[in-house]
Amino acid sequence: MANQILQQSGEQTEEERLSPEELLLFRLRKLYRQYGYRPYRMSKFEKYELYAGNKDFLVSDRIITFNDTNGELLALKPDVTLSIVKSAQFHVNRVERLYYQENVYRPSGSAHQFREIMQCGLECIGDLDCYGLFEVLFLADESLRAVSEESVLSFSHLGILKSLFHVLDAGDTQQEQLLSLIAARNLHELSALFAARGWEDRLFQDVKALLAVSCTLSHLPGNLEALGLSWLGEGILQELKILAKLSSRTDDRARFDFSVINDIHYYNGLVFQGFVRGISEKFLSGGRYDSLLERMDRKGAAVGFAVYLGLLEQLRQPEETFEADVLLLYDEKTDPEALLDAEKALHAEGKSVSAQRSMAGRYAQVLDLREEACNA
Amino acid sequence: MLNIALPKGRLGEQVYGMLKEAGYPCPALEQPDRRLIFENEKAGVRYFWVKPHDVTIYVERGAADVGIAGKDILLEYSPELFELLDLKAGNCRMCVAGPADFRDNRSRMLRVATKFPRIAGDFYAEKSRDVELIKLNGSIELAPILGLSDVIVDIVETGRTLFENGLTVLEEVCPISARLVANPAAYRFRREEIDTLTMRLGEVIKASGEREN
Repeated sequence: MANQILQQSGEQTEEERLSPEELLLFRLRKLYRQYGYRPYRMSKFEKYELYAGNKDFLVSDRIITFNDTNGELLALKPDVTLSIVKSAQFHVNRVERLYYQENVYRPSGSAHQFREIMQCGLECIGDLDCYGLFEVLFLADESLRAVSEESVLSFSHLGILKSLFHVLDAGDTQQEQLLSLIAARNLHELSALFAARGWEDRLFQDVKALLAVSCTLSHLPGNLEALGLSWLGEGILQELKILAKLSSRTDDRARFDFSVINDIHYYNGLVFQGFVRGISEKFLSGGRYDSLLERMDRKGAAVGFAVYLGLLEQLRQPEETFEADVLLLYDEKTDPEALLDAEKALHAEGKSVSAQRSMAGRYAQVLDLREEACNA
Repeated sequence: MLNIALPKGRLGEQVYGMLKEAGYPCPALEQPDRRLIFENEKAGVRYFWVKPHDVTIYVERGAADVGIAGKDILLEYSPELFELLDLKAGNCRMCVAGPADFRDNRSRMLRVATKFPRIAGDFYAEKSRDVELIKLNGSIELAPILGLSDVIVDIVETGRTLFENGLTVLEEVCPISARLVANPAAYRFRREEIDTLTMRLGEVIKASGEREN
């Protein structure tokens, strides 16, 4: 099942044969257009200052830079969202729905080397309401399903964390510690931190209980109420109740996971990450990022996500690969016209052909047109 | 089948003993041979022996669902993993060590030899101490003896190696022990299995603690 997208790309005819990445892009474009999202194209380069001021928002703070002919410092774009936000316009009672497919450039993998990464995603920016918010969450889940049914969309609400910080009166350093321990589901060190800071044990028990919750969106408000979190902001529960109602009218697949955390300096509210069986890291990431808009002096609210298409590579199985269907072996004594005729005949059978004077390489079939072989 | 990366060596053997007690035995692994992969279909586990430094790489890249890694490795490389349990095994300390008569002269840069430049760097950054980090791969104790560094930051278990080389612990950086780590993507698909393993291991640790008391 996990290789659904790979199998389907292989089932098509030669003319229609698309790579898994192309097939997924084709599906996602269709899906996003259905919901009124318009394509957004951008230049490969941006002024470096756009990223320099918002490095925390980026997956990596390492950026490829160069000087333009006029001396201006430019960057090969490591991210798409910042460019979109920069040009977003605010209108009352209206949101801009945009999707993109772009290559971005940033370090990746355990060696942290720069790579060109194919990414697509969407952004919904403007006078955002709960309906728009839910629509993006729904589209994130549908984007995962376009790859495989064996996928999981995990979500959380950063408002819960912010309420926790408030009741703990946690300073910046403590907030960072809490965030990294909750994101790592590290209960043993969380317990030690609560004890060291003299924070109430009942609040640690609340965090522990939140990390144990694994339910769908439609069941979340009920589960949160059952936990009796006295410190939880009322607005959060109200928002989750509206989203839960909408979710109950769909497949309701997204699952609450308190360890899902994005940078709290940029994100607020709903955040989510998508996983596909067989891919060892998150395949999709997104959330609501009003705080980024605020930092960039933009009005309104925004939510969006990115799909990391390059990770589809991890689903590929080692396969028998041939350089061509048929190796046409010839030598200097072979009649070139006979060679051409043989090649044309094989093409007519729908086979790919490589004419060579030696046996190097892997081929499904070898046709020997050398004089010795013909005389034998 | 849950794939578990175990660190080769004494710690791995100790943790396997805990996993066995928790209900995840693998008789094939107990046979003296040179194989690296062992499976017990009935218990639903497949064990790999890997170098201790490589455990987090196997888990982060999804080759193993869970693994046993030292806190030193987790602090040094910050892999994106879930840290589910402190196994309270392989207990030791990350320490600053040097000659017993060492006095820090804050008017000059401190030379620190270590296998753990990130841990050492973070430790001194917290103290706003200007240091020159010298990355070594082994025999760290030699560095202050030969004048290569003023102090070292290294793992100390009993302190015997330090003592035999005329060095002593000057400061503790942090305690170190083995941790159960999980790949976050694998956790999303195998949460029940991984939570059960974590819970059972937690019970084994608790029972062992009670026996010792």
